[in-house]
Amino acid sequence: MSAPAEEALDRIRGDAPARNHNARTISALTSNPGCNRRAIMDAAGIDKSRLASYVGFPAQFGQSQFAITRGNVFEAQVKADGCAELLTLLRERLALALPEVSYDDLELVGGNTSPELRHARTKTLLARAAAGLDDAGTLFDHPLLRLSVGGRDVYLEPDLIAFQWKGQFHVIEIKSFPVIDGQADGEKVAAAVIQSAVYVHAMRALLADQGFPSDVVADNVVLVCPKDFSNRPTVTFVDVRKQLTVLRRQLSRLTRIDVLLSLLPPTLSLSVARPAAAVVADLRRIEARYMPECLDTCDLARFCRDESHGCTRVMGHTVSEDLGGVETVETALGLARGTLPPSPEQEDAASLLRLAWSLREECFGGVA
Amino acid sequence: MSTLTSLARALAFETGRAVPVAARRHAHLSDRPLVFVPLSLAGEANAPLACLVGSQASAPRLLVVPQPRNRDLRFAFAASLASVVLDYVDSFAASMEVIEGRNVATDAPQLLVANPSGVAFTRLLGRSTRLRRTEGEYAVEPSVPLLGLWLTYFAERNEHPGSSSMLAMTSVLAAHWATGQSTLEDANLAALIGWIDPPPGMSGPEAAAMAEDPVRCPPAGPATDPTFDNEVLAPLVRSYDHAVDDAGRARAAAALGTALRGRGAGDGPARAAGTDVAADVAWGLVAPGPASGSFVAEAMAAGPSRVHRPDGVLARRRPATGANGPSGGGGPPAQPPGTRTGRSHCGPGVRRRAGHGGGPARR
Amino acid sequence: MLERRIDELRTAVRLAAVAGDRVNARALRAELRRAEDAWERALTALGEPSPMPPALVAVGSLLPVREQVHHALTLLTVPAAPRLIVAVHEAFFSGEMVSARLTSLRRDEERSFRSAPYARPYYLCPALTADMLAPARGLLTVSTWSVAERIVGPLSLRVHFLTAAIRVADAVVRLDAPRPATGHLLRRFAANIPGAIDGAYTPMSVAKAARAELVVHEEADRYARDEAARRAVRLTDVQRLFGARLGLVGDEAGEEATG
Repeated sequence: MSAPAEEALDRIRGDAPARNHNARTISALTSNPGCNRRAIMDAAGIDKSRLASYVGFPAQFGQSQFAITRGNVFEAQVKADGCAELLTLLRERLALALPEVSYDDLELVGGNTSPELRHARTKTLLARAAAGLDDAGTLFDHPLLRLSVGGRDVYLEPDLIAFQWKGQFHVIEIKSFPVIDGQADGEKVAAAVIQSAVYVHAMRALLADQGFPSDVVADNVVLVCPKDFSNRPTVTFVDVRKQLTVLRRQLSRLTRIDVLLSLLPPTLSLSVARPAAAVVADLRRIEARYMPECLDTCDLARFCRDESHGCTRVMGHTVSEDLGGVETVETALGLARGTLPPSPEQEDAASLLRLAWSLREECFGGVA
Repeated sequence: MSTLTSLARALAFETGRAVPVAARRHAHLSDRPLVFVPLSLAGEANAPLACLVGSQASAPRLLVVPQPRNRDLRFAFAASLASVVLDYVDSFAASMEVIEGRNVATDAPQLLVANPSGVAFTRLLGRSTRLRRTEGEYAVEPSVPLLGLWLTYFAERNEHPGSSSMLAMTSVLAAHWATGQSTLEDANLAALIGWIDPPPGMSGPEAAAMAEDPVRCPPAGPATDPTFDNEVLAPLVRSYDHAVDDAGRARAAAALGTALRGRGAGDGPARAAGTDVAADVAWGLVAPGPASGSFVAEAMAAGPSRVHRPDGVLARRRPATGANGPSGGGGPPAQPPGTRTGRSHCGPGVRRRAGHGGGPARR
Repeated sequence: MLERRIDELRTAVRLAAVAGDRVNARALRAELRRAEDAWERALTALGEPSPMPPALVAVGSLLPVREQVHHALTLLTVPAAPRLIVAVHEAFFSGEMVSARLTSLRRDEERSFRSAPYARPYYLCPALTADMLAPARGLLTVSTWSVAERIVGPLSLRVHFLTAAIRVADAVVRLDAPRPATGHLLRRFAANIPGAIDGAYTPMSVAKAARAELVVHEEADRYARDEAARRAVRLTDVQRLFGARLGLVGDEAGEEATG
C-alpha cells in the first residue's frame, strides 16, 4: 500500500481511530465486491455505525450483552484446562494421539501484544509444527494471521488452530449457537463457514510463504457449538472448499484500493468533524451497490437504500430481474402500461411487462 | 416470485400502499385461534424471556421469566404456558359430532405466531420440553411434556403447505399482499402491516419506516432489540438477582412485565410493545367488523375460498397446494397428542372433518 | 410520575446508544439509575424492604477470599484457573466463595507484596509462562511453591489437569458427606480423561486413568519447567512472584514503569 494511498485513507476517515477489518467484514465485503463505498470505508477503518447516525440513518445494530456473555462463557468453558473438553472431542474425531496435548497461547508475547510481534510468533510456531519437528505443538490459541485485502494487510484472529503431528492444521471456530439434534441455524452456520474459509485462506498464504504446500491446512474446519440445550460442546466438520473458491475469486476482483482512491477528488473526506451535508455529498461521490441484503450486513445500508429510492433493485434482485432488469420502478410501470415507448434493449422486457399488466387487469380489474 | 407479483410490488411502491396479489383468501382463519407471541433471550438455544398468549382478544396473558437463565423459573413459565395451551386445546373436545359412526371434533385448534422465527421458536420449545422427566432430580410438572408434544405438533404442521394448524402471520399476509419493499423487509410484521394498513395520515413506506425503529416500535420477536436488552432488560434481570425476598422478586418481575408491554409513558400504537402489536394484528385478522376498523381484517375476511380449483388465472398460477382443498394437506393429518383429560379427541381412529385444517377457509 | 420518567429515560438511553452517542448515553444512564433508585426508595417508604446487593450481605463465610483460594490451591497442588478454584471450593469446603472477588485478587496481592514484601506467610500470585517467565493469564498459584511448580509450559495445562484429577479423586474418597458439586467436579474430570469411564466411573477409576496418561507427558513437561526455573534465578523477587513483563528479565526500571 503506497504512502499517498495511506494518507488519502487517513484523510477520508478523519481524526477517529481506525477500526480493524476482521473475518466478518471481509466476508461481507466479498459478498458484495462491487460496492466501492463499502470497500473504501472498510479500508479506511471508518466507524460505519457512527457515520450512519451522523448522516441521519442510524443503523439498528449493536450486540446484546446476553449474547456476548453467553458467547464468552461458552468459549471459556471450551478452552478451560488446556482445552480439556475440546481435546476429548478432537481425540475422538481427529484421532489425535495421546501425547498430542500441547497448548500455546499466542496472544501474549511476554506481555507485548503488538500485532507484528504476535504475527511473527504465530508464523514461527506454525512453521515449526508444519516442518514436523519434535516440539510441534498441538493447540494454538489466539493465533494472529495476516491477509492482503485490496492491497492492504489485514490482521485476522481465528479462535484456535489445531495441528496433528505429521498431518494437517485444522481451523477451529467456537460459536455459541446450538446444534440441536444434529442441526443448526442455516444462516448462522453459513456465516461461520465463510468466516472460517477466510482463515483457511490466510493460513495457507502464511505457510505457502514458508514453502509449505496448501494441503497442510485442511479443507475441513471444525465448528465447536453447544450441544442441544446444554453447555456441553459438540464438534462438526465443515468442508469449505466451495467458499474458498468463491473467496479467492472475490478477493482478486476487489479493485485495488489505490485504484478506487484515484477516482475520487483529492479533498474527499467522510470525517464526522465536517458538516453533515458535506459528508453526505462526499459519500454520494463514492459509488455504492445497494441490495436488501445490505440491511443485515452493513451499518450504512439505510442511507444507501434511501439513495436508491425508486430503483427496482431496492426490492431485491429477483424482483428487479422479474421486471426485465429495468432500472427504475417508474420505467417498469411505464413500459407495463404502454405509456412509455421501449428502447430497442427494452423490447423484451416491455412485452413481458405488458403481458403481466393485462393479466393483472383481468384478475383485479380497474387498476390505474 | 413471478413477474406478476413483482409488478404488483412496483405498483405498491408507486401508490405507497400494499396491493393485493390474491383474489381470495387462501388460508383458513379460525374464529378462535390461540395467539402466541414469544420473546427469547439473546444468545441462548431456547431461553424464553416472556410471551403473550391467549385465545380471546380481550384477555391475553403475559407470562414472564424474570431471570431467563434460571432453570426453575423457565419450567414454571412452561407450566403456566402449558395450562393456557392445554385448556385451549381441551376446549375443542367439547364440541363433537358423529360422522360415519365416528366421533369427530367440529373445529380444530389453530396457533398463530408473528413470523417464521416464531415457528422455529415454537418447534424448539416443544423439543426442549417434551422429553423432560416428571420425576427424579430434575422433575417438571406433568403438563410440561404434554405442552412440548403439542408445540411440536403445531410446528410440524406448519411445514405442510395447505395446513392451517399453525400460521405465521407475516407469511400469510405476504401471500395476499405485495408491498413496495423487499421480502427481507416484509419479515418485519409491523412494517408489513404498515404497508397494508397504515395509520391514518401516513403512507405505507412512512408507517414501515416507523415500524423499523426498534425503540419506537419494539420487534414482534422472538428476538429482542439489543438496545432493549442492554438498557432495559439487563438492569431488570439484575434487580431480580439482587432481590433479597419474594416481595423484591415479585416487584422485579412486575417491572419486567411493564417494560415488555411498553406501557408507562405515552400511549398510542407507536408505543405499544411488539408483543402487543403482533397480538393486535392477529385479532385484526380474525375478527372483522367495525370494532376493529381494520382494512386488513375486512380484506382477509372477504370471500371464502372455494373447495374446488378456482378458475381465476391468478389462482392457476399459484402452486396447487395453496388454493386447493384438502388434497394439499401433504398426506394424512398427523395425529395430535392426547389431552390432559385423557380423552383424546383427535387420537387414533378419529379423523378430522374433511376440509379442515388444510381445507377451505371458513368465515 | 416517576415511572413515566423512567420510561422516558429508557427510551432516551436507547436512542443515544443506537446513535453511537456514548457521552450522552452515559449521562442518561446515570440519570436513569438515579430515577430507578428513587423508585426503589419510594417503595421502601411504603414499608417494603429494598433489595441490597449480595456483596454487602454476610453470606456465611468467615474466611477472606484469599484464604479460601489458598485452601483450594493447597488441595490441588497445581496452578489453577478461578473457575476450577471455585468448583473445588464448592465441592469440598464450606461457606460461599464470591467469584467476583477473584478478579481483583492478583492485583491486590501484588500491591500488598510491594508495599510490605514477605509480610504475609504466603501470597497468591500468577503462574509464569515457561518461555518468557511472564505472568500466565488466568492461573493462580501460591508463592510458597517452588518456581518450577509455578511455571507452565506447553504441556503443563494438560499435566495440571490430570494431576488435579488425581488430587480431587483422593479428596472425594476422604470426604464424609459428598454433595452435588463434588459429583459434578469429578464427572468433568472423568468425561475428559480416556479410560476413566468404563460404563461407570469412581474416584479410583478417575485417578488410575489420570495416572496412566500422566506418564506420557510428565517427563517432557518437567524438563521444560525445570529449564525455565533455572532461568528464573535471575529475576527479582517481585518478578519471580508476579511475572516479568516486556520480556526484559532483570530490568527493574522497566518493571516500575509498568507496575
